[in-house]
Amino acid sequence: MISLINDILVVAFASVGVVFFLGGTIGLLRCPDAYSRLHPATKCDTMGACSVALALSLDAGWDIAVFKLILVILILLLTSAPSGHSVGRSAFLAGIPPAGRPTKA
Amino acid sequence: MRQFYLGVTLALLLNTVPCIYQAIKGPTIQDTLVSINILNTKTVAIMLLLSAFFGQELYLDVSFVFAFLYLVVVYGISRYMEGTGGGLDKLDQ
Repeated sequence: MISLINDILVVAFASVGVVFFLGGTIGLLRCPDAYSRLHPATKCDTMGACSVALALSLDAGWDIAVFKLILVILILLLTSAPSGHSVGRSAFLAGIPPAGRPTKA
Repeated sequence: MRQFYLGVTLALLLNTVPCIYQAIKGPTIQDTLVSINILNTKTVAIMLLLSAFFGQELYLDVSFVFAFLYLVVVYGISRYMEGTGGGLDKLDQ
């Protein structure tokens, strides 16, 4: 019974991760400029990869692998926001105009 | 459960194709950086899934290295591209 619930949770978390990765890819294709593309990209980090790692840590049992997977989750949560901010800052300082506004002639 | 992991890995691998297309097409360097951001996150997830599929803990360390190198690459290239135009000449076409 416990293992059945565990398996259902593993499949649910991994499916949530795949759905968020698919949404991130569709958003990457459909958004008009780099500023709006940052939104689906950072969603992929926080929800997609962290959900997949959480599902694998539920399946791993009591092992050293659980510690490593939780460390991967912490690394992804700590590094996705600064890197996204850095890309947006570089796009702004390079003078790229946001989409939907008249460009500087 | 192993077949499920293989299916998830194949779904993520199919998702990488539009990201590579966008990374090649993207008019500015920042678009390419965002595409590479998603590609690197997918690499981390695929490495985690493959470590569960093959039962080897070595792949977890590979995903560590990818997760750290991704921060270094994105920070380095974006800080370097602040002063330059960042491909603005391509955007006007």
